[in-house]
Amino acid sequence: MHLECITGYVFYSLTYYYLFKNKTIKKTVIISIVIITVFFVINAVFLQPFRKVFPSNITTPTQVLYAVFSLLLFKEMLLYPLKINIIRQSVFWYNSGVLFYSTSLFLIFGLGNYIGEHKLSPNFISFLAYFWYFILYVFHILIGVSLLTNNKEITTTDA
Amino acid sequence: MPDNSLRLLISLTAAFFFGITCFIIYFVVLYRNKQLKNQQEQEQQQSAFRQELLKAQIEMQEQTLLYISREIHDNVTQVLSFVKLNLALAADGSAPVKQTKINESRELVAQAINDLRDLSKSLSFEHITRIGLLKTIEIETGRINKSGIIKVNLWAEGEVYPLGEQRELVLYRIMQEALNNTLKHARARHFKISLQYQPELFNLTLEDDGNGFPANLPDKNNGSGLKNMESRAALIGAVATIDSSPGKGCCIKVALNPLEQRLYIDGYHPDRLSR
Repeated sequence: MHLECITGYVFYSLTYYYLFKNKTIKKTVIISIVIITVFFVINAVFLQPFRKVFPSNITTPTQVLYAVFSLLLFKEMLLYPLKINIIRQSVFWYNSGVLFYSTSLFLIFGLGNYIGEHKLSPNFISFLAYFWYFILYVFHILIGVSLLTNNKEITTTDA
Repeated sequence: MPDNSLRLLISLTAAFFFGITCFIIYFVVLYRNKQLKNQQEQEQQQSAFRQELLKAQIEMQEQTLLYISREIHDNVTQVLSFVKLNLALAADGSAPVKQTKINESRELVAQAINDLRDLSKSLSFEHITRIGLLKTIEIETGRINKSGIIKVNLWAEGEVYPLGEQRELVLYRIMQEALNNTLKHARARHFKISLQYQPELFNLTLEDDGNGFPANLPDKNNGSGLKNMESRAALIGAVATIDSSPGKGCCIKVALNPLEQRLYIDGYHPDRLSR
């Protein structure tokens, strides 16, 4: 889980690095990768040991960063709109997917804590599990749509 | 309690999905509006560019016609009148006088032919399309130097590349406007035209050693002409800077990045007069 968390963050951040046009944001993305990686090592060794504790110290800030990157990319898309219809832009689907996934995780964490603290019945845990599956399905469908959307057309229009 | 909690859980989830869906729909609408606004702005720019280009072409035509009419009146007509007079005198003269007059007339007719040929070359807006900016300016420089009104020096540096018909036309018009201003107001003795062709930068510099003018020149005293140059330069993506002070002449610099593409400039232009 620790490794999945960090590799996921590096992958998604690098994707955003290539999608952003603003140089300051690009630099911030790179700096965030370095900081998160260093923090990941510290966390895995001292705070939430590898293979023993769920890395919530890493998961929470990375989800916040995903949501921030996604909102920043939406803002940048508004600043430099392309001529092509937004529905046919893969960036829109990808970004929507990341925003949906990262914000949904907060809801999942919040609901999980609530269920844990109030010691609710296993039905609630099942509900949460189904909800989690649903989020994963939606996220992967959105990523799939973004992959199937014609990127070549966007690149040429952009140029 | 569990029922209430379940209700809360479902409400929270529903609210979350509703919120995120609303956000995405709002973004799509906002994006669409921005696209429409951009499209309208681009159309306005395109229309302004076409109007300005047409205006520049008409001005060039007017100037060319004015020059042709002046040349025909002051030069060709005078030469041909002299030929007519010579031939009239030859009719009454002896054989050697006749021969001399005919020879003189032949030379004068040859001069008139040359002048007419030069005139035909001064249809500049067509020349730019065919021979390019540098060659057209060379012809203009030759014409002005021949008239003796002012000494024009042309200086070109770097490997010459085409800037595109419309850009060259606007640049030529800026040069013509600057030269006109110098002839009308500056009382200059020299006018220098420099063209610098660098891979990512084209510079057109127009300098005179005339009276110059203060920086805050009012519109009625040729200020609108200077603003015209700046706005025309901006239309082709160039930056025009005008530097002058009383007694120190005037220097106009036009800098253009030839690699920068403007959608409304490139390609076939429906209003173009040539070809």
